[in-house]
Amino acid sequence: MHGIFTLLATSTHVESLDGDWLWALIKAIAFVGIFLTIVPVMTWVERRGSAFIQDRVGPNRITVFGIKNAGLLFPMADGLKFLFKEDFLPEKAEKILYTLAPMMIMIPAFIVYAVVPFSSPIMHESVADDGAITRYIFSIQIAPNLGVGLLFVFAIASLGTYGIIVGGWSGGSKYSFLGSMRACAQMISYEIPLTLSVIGILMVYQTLSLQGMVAHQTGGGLLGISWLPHWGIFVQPLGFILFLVCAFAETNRAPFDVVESDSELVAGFHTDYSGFKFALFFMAEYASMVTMSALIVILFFGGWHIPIITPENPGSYLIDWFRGFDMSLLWASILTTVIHFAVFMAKTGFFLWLFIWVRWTLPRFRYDQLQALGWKVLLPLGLVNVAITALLLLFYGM
Amino acid sequence: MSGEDKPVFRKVKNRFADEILGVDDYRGDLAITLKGGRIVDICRFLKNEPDLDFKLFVDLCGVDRSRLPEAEGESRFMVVYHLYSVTKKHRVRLRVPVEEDNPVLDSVTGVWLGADWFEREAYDMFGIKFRGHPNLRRLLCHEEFVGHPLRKDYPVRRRHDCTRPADLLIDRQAAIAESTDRMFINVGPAHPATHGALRFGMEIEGETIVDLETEIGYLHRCMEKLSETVTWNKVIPYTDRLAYISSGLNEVGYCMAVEKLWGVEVNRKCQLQRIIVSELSRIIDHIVVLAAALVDLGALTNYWYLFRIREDVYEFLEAAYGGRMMINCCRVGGMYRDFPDGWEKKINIAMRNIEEFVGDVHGLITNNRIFIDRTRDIGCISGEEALDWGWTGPCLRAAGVAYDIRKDKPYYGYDQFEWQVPVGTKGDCYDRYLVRMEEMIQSKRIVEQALIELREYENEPVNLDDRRICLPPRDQIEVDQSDGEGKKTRVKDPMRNQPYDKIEDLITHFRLVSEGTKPPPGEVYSYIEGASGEVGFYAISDGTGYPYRVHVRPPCYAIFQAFGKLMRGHMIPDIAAVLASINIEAGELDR
Repeated sequence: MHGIFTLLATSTHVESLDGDWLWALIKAIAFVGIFLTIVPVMTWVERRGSAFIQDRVGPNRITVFGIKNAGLLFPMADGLKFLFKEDFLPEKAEKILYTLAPMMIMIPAFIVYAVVPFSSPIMHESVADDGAITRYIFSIQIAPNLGVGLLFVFAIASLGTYGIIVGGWSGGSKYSFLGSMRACAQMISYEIPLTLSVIGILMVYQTLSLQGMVAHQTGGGLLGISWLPHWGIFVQPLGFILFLVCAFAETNRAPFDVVESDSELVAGFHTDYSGFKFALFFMAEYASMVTMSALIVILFFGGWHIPIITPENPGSYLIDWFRGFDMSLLWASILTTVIHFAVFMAKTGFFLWLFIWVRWTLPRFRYDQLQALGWKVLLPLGLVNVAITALLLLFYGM
Repeated sequence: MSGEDKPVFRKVKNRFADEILGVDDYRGDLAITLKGGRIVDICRFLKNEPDLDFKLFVDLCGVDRSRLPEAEGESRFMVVYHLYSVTKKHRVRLRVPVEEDNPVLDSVTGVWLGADWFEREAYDMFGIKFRGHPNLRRLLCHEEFVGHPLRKDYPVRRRHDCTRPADLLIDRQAAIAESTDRMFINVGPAHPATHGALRFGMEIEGETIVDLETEIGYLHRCMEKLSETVTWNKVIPYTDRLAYISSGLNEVGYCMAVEKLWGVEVNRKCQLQRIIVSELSRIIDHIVVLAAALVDLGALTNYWYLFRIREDVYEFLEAAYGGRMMINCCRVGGMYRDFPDGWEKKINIAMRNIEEFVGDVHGLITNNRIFIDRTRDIGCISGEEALDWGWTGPCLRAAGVAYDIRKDKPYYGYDQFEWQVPVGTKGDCYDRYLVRMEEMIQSKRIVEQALIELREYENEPVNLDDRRICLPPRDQIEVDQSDGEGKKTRVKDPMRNQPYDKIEDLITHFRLVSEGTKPPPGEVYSYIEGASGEVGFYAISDGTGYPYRVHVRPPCYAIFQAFGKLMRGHMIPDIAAVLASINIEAGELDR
């Protein structure tokens, strides 16, 4: 089934490094570090990207030693500004909750990364004196053995809603209150179609583990067409559309940004927040954008698989190819991992750009129209999708 | 035809002969002076009589006549009504004297809804009380303000400290406090949706607006009072700041009013230049309105697409008059100066870009389902109700009434151009959006035709050759301009004029600047099609160089008074959609 796992099956002894808490900690720090860096890069992409879409120049004023850098240092300037702004506390605020709210939204946004498989695992082999081969496997995923991966993602991601509700309510402002009421209703209405939209694909993949899902999308030959990769989007096109729409709603991005709609509610639930507390809300929004993009890639776009390279044994294809150059398994798999990681990030990057692209193209929904879309269109479509998938599986098998 | 013979007057005379104190037909404005006792009956007659059909309530204002020489011994105040019939295309001015010791008059809010704010303003400015008005409180001035500022004995420089914000929805507060599912929410004066300093209080149930009351006046600058302290020409910069995003139109309207007082018509070249400036102003006004409306609906990108055109127009205006927003281009009897060298090229660039960017916005928005959902059937008003409120301009046309002053009473030969008046059907936000989009294209057509005609007048003067009105002409100094490749050409420097070579010219210049042009005594109402409706100027001259009274009839003032009623039953997000679509410019609203 899976190239890498076939390779592992031939080994006499396989040792996984995933259970080692020290490695897990190192990986956690590394990935949180990577994604904390993605957030400022995303703000830069958003500002330059919107400028590109809107036919204007965009931020380009910061030059270092006379070198123009297309505004790349603006995120740093923004960060500094957030640090030095007054940390404003409204008079009517519930002080403890008001302070906790940004953390409540920030922490779940990052915990979710624990189960995301970013790339193929790194492998190493050592040959003992008696000729027995021991292979070591090192997953590029913080918690690779979590079988309920997808459920974990949904469960943790929806905790972020509490941050929005608490933040909006505890500020003591009517605008934030209205914003958090909207958030509350919106989250409930869109969690349901979001979950429904993946049930179809769960039935196809027969697993909740994200790693397993990626493994399932290996290779080509879907529907007998040799070049068509075995990706979720071709198996579940309707499920993909539903999931994409709900992803926009779940991240409160335009056109579903009624929670912070600036022309009506000033800034919605975070109207009164300033300084770094505001920055945390801001970062959480981008972090959840990254999560959602990564999920779309894992569920529907083959995770870290490269679409065109689809010979019989695709997972280890790159490794085999590198080993053909007389490389050790360790180096070959490291190179493979790096390439797969880049592919994964490229796919995720496309969807991040899609988030930005849509934001600067579409107008905003009205709050009740958004609800109507969720309950009257997405929910029935989600149910239809589940029914069709079930029937197809029943009569035609997988 | 004298005023006595006009059919409108004859009709009124047949019915209310006892009420009529006099009739006047100065410069073609029919003005009937009436006793105040039966004003409501007369107004109802004027509105409902099929041959008169004065459905559009245009304007109401007060006048303090205590310093007017010919009004010696008469009543101190005069309440002046302006009415118009869209079907019969006739106008009338009613003048009702009001005594100083008992300044009370019956309110006509029962006849036209639109009289509401105009009567409040007259009360605010002159202290004239309107019996039967539902909410006779101060409007432009603050509640803590003392005195009535437009009275002639009110010193211009007196100041009051006003600190407390006005209470809104006073009679609803108790009910809101008792209710568990209703909430009072304050919007503004600084709120992203308000587009200038306005404030409103809402009673909401969930997100549905139960009631809404507006408070305006945050940008009140006493423009009408200030106008009385400067010469006629010096009022022009004040008019710039009325509808500040289409300042050219206000100036044209004001200068037309003073020229009407004089009884003169400007040169054709000046007319064409004013047409070009007006239509460019209309285009940039619509751009700002549409761009802001789309931003409020979350479609931010269109803002930049549209503002590109605005920038092109400003390039031209800046080259022509030095200013961008406040161009200060018109003068009584002419223009500040002729168009500069290379003007045609600059306008052509702007005209070329209009179609492209408007097309882009059409592509992004017009058939966008989200946009249609947000604007269809939102803020609907019927044509009849819109007239009743005194709506004019694109908002009225969106409601299906094809009233455009450029077509109905063409000035400056607008009827010679080929263009059309776009009309909506439902009067909702979507129709208002479409009407404005189309009007930009129609304005472009007018500009293009005016450009062709303007070429014929290349070497003619812009200003009137009348030394009572216009400054004596002077040539501009010619300077060498290098084109960067060593070639030099002689061009006129628009910033520098030759000195006068005759002492008479110098003296004329001195007297016109320091004393001002002195139109003969009289009163006129002059009106043009502004960007958001009928911009009217009611001007009274007492024969001096200073205006005796300048009253502005701001189109968005009449429109905005219907806002509270328009919003009832809608949701909070609709505020942004409706407010942006009816085009509120606080500068014009508050004056």
